[in-house]
Amino acid sequence: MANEQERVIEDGPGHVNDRKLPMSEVDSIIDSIPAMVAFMTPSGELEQVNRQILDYIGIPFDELKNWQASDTVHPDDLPSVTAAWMHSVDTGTPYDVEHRIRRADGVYRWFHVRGLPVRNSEGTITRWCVLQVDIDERRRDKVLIAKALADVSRSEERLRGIIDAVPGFVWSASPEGSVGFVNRRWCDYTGMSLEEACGNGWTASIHPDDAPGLGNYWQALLHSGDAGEYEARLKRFDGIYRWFLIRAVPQRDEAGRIVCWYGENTDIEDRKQAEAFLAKARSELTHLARVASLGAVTASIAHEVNQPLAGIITNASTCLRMLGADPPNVDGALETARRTIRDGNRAADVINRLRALFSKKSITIENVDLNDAAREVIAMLLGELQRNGVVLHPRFAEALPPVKGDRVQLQQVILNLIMNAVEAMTTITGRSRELFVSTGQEQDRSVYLAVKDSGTGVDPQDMERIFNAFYTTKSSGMGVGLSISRSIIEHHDGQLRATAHDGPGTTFTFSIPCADESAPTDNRDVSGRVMENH
Amino acid sequence: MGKYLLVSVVDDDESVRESLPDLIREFGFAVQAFASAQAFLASPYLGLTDCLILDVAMPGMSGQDLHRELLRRGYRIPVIFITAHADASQQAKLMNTGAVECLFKPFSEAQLLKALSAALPLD
Repeated sequence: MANEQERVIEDGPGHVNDRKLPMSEVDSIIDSIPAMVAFMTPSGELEQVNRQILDYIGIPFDELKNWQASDTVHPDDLPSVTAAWMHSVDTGTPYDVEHRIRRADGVYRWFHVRGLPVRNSEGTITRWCVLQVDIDERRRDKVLIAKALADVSRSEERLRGIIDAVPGFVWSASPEGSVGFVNRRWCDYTGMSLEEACGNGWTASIHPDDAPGLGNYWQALLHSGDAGEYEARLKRFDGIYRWFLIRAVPQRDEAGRIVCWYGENTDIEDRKQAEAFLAKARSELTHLARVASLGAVTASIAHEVNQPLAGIITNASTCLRMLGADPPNVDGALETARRTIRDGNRAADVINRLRALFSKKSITIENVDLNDAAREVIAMLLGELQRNGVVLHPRFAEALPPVKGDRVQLQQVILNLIMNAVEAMTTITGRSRELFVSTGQEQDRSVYLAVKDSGTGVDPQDMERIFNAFYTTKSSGMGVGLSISRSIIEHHDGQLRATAHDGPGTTFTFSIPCADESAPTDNRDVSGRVMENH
Repeated sequence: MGKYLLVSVVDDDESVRESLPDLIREFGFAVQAFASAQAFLASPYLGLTDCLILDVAMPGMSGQDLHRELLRRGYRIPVIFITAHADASQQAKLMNTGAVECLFKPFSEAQLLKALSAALPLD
């Protein structure tokens, strides 16, 4: 292109130079060229410009001659423009620069400026012909495109950054399930490369015990096209396995065909360990609560047993004395002997109740009469209640339907609620310590048991907190009882709640669905289980 | 009747109220039994009692409450506490209130006799 132009304007021995044109005609021809044209002297001075240049720049030709000292060329571009122009003038090489030129209104626009030397027959440069083409629009578009391209590549980079930064593993697989991508975190964790992971290579990272199940599950997902998730252990580069939740989601096209699968694996090892720890802690707490309430109950039981034992020993002593008297008081001795037997039976009853309450180890589901269950617990605790000066008001509903559950567990809940109520009232002075234990049926036919004390009560804002393990307002004690009680009741599909009163005290109520709502086949099942446990 | 010393028994447990008076009577004392502190306070035997055998844990007014109430009213009746709750610290506390003895149920005839002798020195 440049060569062609060079040939055209060359002042060679060709035909162009043969026909000389008058100067005025040359001027009008230059002015009619639909582009900005300038002629420069061989030394680089401005010789002549056409009308388009004068109109665009908006200053007289005389001022324009001094362009290198003005802001006609954008000041940022001027040094490089001057240098390039001086280079062309010195060497005679074509001039080709893009730079900004000021318009009459002060706005700079981009121009593509090209200059070629005009030579005479000896080859000497006689002048320079310079063409200035406005490329501002094109240039702006180019900048926009470049910027857009930069944005795209940045967002791609950002996306890759995000994919690598997600605190989990990201992968994709073909519609057939062949893995084509895993993110860097996956590679860092497993110590495998992307190439090793591709296809079915990733399965090497799955725990051998989890691999068959995960494989089957993955095949089922691929078959059904449903999203899904699976928990499995993944081997770390150092051989340690950690639990992960593996999730897969199908990506579909407009026709609903699966294009690919996207997946994400989240490390749930900590959660798994917390779950295991919680389960362990819960069972330990249950044990502690049993032991703790056992401790409180042991004192109560000792009291219960000591009463008849006192009677037995006193009666036996009296009996011996009556028989040893002169004359022997046989009638009195017979009476005291009878009382001895009666008190002995009373002590045996206490022991039997104790065995019923604590000797069973396995959980037995049976029909439980909450009235009976509560009466037995209260019988155990009478001594404890008396010792604490608590007045008991039992209010048991008649014809209460049974509930289905583990009798011992439910009795432990009742025991816990009563012991809590007693403890809540230990600080009461100046008014009576009253304990109401009532049963009845809710509107939804579930059976409830409520324990109401006249203690200091629970702050309403603590109402929910008191069910948390370890929460306790007491200065002593385990404080684990209520949370375990609640979990026991919830295992019975029931609810345990606390209610404050206008007056002093708190009511703890649990309700359990009544047993006759279950299917009869279930009952047969249950009796079978009961048999096994005995 | 007047020559017998009167021992009063206050216990909410019926078997104690049945058995203990018989034994004490065998020892040679006169006996009255009461089911509650209030019943004793309301009885005409309050001023006649030479020794009080008092259960600790009773509904309503406890053994300690009754003991305090007697002291408040100016009665200086020797008290033998009896309790089915074998708690050494409670026993020490009861002894500090000026009781003659504190017996854990079940107690032997000898323990009771010893306590009674301490409460009722033979003059």
